[in-house]
Amino acid sequence: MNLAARGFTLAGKALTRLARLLPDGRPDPLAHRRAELGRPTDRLDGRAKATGAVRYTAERQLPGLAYAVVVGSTIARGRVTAVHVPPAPGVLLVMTHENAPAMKRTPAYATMKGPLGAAAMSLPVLNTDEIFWYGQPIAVVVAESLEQARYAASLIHADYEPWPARLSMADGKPYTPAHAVLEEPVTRRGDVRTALGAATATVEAEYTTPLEHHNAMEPHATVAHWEGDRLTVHDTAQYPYGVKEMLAKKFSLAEENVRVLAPFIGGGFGGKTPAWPHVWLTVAAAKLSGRPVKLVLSRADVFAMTGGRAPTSSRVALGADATGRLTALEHHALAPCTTDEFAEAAVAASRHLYTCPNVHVAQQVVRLDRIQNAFFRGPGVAPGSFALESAMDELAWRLGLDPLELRLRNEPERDPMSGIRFTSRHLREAYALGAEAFGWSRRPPAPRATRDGRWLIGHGMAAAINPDAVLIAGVQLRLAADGTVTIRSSTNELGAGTSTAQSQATADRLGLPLDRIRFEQGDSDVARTRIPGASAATTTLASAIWSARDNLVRELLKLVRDTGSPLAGRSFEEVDTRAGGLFGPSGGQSYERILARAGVEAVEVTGKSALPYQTVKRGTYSYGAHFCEVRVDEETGEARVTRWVGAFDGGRIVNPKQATSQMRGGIIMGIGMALTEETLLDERTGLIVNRSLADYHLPTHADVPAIDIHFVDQPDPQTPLGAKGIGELGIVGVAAAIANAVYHATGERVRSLPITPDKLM
Amino acid sequence: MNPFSYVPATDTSSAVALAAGGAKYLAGGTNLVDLMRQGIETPRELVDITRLPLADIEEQPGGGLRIGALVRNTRVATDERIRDRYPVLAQAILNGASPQLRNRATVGGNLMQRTRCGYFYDRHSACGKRDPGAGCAALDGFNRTHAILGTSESCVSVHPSDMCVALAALDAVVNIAGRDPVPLVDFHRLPGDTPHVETMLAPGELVTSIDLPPAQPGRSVYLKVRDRASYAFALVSVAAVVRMEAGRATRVRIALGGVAAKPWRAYEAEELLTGTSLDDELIHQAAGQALAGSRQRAHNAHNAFKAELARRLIRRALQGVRS
Amino acid sequence: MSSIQLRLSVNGREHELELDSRVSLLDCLREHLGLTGTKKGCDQGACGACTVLLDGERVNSCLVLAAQCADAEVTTIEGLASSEAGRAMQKAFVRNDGLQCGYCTPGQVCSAVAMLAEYEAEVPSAVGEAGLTDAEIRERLAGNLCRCGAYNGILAAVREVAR
Ligand SMILES: Cc1cc2nc3c(=O)[nH]c(=O)nc-3n(C[C@H](O)[C@H](O)[C@H](O)COP(=O)(O)OP(=O)(O)OC[C@H]3O[C@@H](n4cnc5c(N)ncnc54)[C@H](O)[C@@H]3O)c2cc1C
Ligand code: FES
Ligand code: FES
Repeated sequence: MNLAARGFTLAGKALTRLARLLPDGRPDPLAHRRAELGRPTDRLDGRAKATGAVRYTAERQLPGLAYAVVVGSTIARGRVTAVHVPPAPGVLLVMTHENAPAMKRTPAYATMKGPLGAAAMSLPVLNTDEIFWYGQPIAVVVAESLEQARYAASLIHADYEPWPARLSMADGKPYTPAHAVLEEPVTRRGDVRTALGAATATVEAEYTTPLEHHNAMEPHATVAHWEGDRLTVHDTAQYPYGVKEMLAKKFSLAEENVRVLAPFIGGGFGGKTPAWPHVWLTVAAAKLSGRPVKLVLSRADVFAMTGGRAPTSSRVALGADATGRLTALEHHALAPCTTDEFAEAAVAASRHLYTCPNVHVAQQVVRLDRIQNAFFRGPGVAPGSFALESAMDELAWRLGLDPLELRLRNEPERDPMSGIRFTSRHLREAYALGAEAFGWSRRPPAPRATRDGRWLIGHGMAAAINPDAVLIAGVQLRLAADGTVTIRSSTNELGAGTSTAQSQATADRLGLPLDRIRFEQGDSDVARTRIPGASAATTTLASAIWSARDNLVRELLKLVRDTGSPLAGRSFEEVDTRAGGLFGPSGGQSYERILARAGVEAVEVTGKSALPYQTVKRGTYSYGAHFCEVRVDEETGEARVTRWVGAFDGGRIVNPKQATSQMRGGIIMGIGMALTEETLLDERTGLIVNRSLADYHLPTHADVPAIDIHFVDQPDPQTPLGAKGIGELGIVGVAAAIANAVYHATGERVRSLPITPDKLM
Repeated sequence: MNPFSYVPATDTSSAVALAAGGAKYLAGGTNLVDLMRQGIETPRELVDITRLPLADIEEQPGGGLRIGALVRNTRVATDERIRDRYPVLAQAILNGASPQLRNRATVGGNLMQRTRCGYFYDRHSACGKRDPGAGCAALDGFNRTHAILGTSESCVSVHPSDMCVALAALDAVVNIAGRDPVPLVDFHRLPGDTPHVETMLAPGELVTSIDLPPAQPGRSVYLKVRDRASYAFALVSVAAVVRMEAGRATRVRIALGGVAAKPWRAYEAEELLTGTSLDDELIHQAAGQALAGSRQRAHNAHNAFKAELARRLIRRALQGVRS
Repeated sequence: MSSIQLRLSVNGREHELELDSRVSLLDCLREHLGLTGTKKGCDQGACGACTVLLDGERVNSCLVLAAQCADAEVTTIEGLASSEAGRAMQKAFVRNDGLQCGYCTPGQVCSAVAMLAEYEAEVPSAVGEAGLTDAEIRERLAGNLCRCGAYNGILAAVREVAR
């Protein structure tokens, strides 16, 4: 292990020890007392979306708007020696490394080093002649129209001095990264090898997952607009506040002079969490051209200029005794990274899912000349659980044990790694719910036992786990004299239903009906908010709104202090927000009345999410169980998923309708991961060969069966609303459940994704 | 996309005259517009032919059908006569692309669509179709979806059409303005040393219609295997048309898609089976025969599975139609 | 620049336009007419986000040149709201949560409305089942990708309207 990894590990151990002394979370009354919460309300923005009224980033029209197109490099490593720019009509600017303004280097978000600006990478793109990956921007063309910009860009070509490029995993030397998505990269306990030797049944195999791209339907887009020293940017940013910080640093601006707006995003899945170079290049191009500039990546650019999920290879060894208790668990994973070290930490699930006395998990990386890889729904756990949960299935067959039973026998009471308690863990209940709904007990015990015409039918299952975290968010709350409340936040609506869920939470927090609440989002300037993805949004924002509610109560008590109100003189602890107002032991008043009596138009307060001690002190994870039916045409190798039941412990569910959709969305993405998705990077050059949606196969309507979702719906006693993040949970375990069902159907074990027809013929 | 002038044509002869001067025909645009946007096709002039009077399906003397080059794919698949008499054609079309694309795509455009090879689509990769003599990046690159029959060292791309596979099995004939009709099976060319020459049309020539010979009694089927359930090009497809009389196959047509730069007719297999009762063993043998000439790269054969897949599909197709 | 002049009717409104001949119907709607309800997901005919009705038929507007639409009647998501069928479908999408981020939604809605009309007109599908089964609906909507995975809700919405 290198120094960085050792340092991180030591710090982590110290923190775990210290964490035991931290206070517990404040039990949230809304975990039990609910009116709007828990209701399957229709999305509040549903109508606007279904009628096309929502404006996404690329749809911002500004006077004098010019269009930009990026040109990418056609080598993976080396130097640009000349950029040739034939004249073309309508061109306002061609920006290359020779004329681009200086843009300060800022650290890469995913490395979690230093300040948390959103930059995807620290590389000085367009401030150097050096090329780091195939498709790296080498020029930005700005023209009067999109057609002109595209044409001019197509004429540009460059001369290069190519250097040898490391493109294949075999090209580099594996080493241990500093951390594996904020966990220690290596954990070793007991003696795995001896335990394997003594085990009744063992499995040792290698599992691989390919490079994948998020491919949100909305391509990345940036609209940048300078007014003197003030910069306004509309961006498809999942993390607007981080983009603001990054741009302020890159262009040496005061933070208050940079505003990033991103209210509605057409899907992100982690691909829009970091800001890829085109974001700051658009800003630079606007500065240089003196015009507001819009840049929308083409789908091919999305593949070349934004990162995906790194491929992984996992070697898993499991051993169990005759009773089906795990005695050995080894998981060694390898993934590529770039200059900015970020590991697709495939070992994550193996650290927290099962109890086992002898464990050795180790994450390694190989440095390659590819674009920085990105967080992607269920980073680490999604590919890692394919390995672990496939291996568990293999072990179950060796033991002659039902794979569900094997999992139940290894369900831990405490976190298997740190020994700390869980805030809540209802995986057993999820297994039971899912198994019952699926009819798991009726599964034929042998593989290749069921046939329907040309289809072999198999059933498979797998567990899901995802870490939960309350992050940092601030909100503004405005209570108006008419009793309506507006919440403003720097987070945005990615499709998870954040705005609807938080409106419901606000309604119950204040004792108001839903139609009194407005939720405004996507403005970086509301408050420092560090929520890069949707999983954490629910609890983090709920925490901030809770704090805003407390501040509101304090302000209202000030307003009634010297009045004849039954609330006058009451302390904060004595009053409650419910039934449309503030109530104490001797009665209360509606919000309207309090404001009217005080003669104020509105009360404005802010709120900040509480530091999540409780989730440091204990392990907070969301859990799930997948059960599926897969049909395989034995002759052609076609595999189709025909039935799905998912059961989840996501704490209390805020909006079951939206939550169900979230889980289905994750599962469908998992179906793609299992059967069809793979980014083909030509290791001779670095070119991505299937950089289109015709060639990179996302699941279509026809690939997706009815997906039956169940929730345990038990509140987590330590989290805001009793909820846990579920946005990423759904995809975890899906690929393994499918591979396991394929095995059950055919007797064939496929250990490398995607499971395409050629692998099953 | 380079600048171009756009001319809507109203009659065939003026369209042909414009094309003789270097203009390119624009039909549904579902392939050409994409290729122009990628900078693969760079015409200076487009002649929009969608308003030409070539958009009807007509009965032919003797019982065949003539399908105008500008009939949209959906219309072909919906036409009662096609569905009754040439169901394999309707099936093949419906198994391709998406409803939106089929609403727009024309018969002529479908015939003339170009390969979907990722290296062909990348202007910076070696491709003898774009740049005669440049070689073929797919040979030692990703070639899982590429051809196994009729390939050359210059090109291993496939023709992506489903419709054409059915047309090949139906012995369709292509009508071309100002010259003799050409059997569909001779229309597309194998790459050889000139992969950029994809059909036997000379530049500027216009396909006016496709003739289907009188329908033969019998059964037919179109089978397609792809990487997802819908909206994807074929890995391998097969069209089989068989006439059984008194337990004997008197006429057998087998065409394969996804395996070559043209819809591939399995003549030897057809011959082997004609006059037989299509028993399993013969079908097996014929399927093997059909792929006998298949070739893959020795060291880089991502597409090797296609031969076996094609054999299995042929067997399934024939077993399905023989009863 | 090679420019073209055309008259285009969008959602019942006539527009006289002078455009670069390269402008697609999709970009014409989004960049020139301010009708941003129609989305661009791929610009290659591979996602369906840009689906509009061209003379009543659903097409991928990214692959249609605006020049080809002279004198044609285009209906976009914005225009659908003024038809009974369109409104019903939009409402059903919301009720059945057939949308998440909303980006594919306008294309899905346009496609679903046109799909039902095609079904009525006896346009066949590759599935070839009798009646508008789930498998039929899925196949007939397969040209509209949804990365959020709202497919189950969309199916439910279409079922509800088709009933
Ligand atoms: C995402 C996607 C998926 C697809 N999937 C499938 C699939 O699964 N199966 C399948 O078969 N196809 C598929 N297609 C291809 C589709 O079928 C073709 O794009 C379509 O058939 C082309 O027809 P068009 O009228 O739009 O041709 P255009 O794009 O207008 O023209 C294509 C070419 O044909 C020439 N041309 C057109 N008409 C004539 C004529 N009458 N005479 C001479 N030359 C002519 C044009 O000059 C041009 O070079 C897919 C396409 C896309 C975009
Ligand atoms: S944008 Fe037209 S199909 Fe994707
Ligand atoms: S709702 Fe987001 S892509 Fe469909």
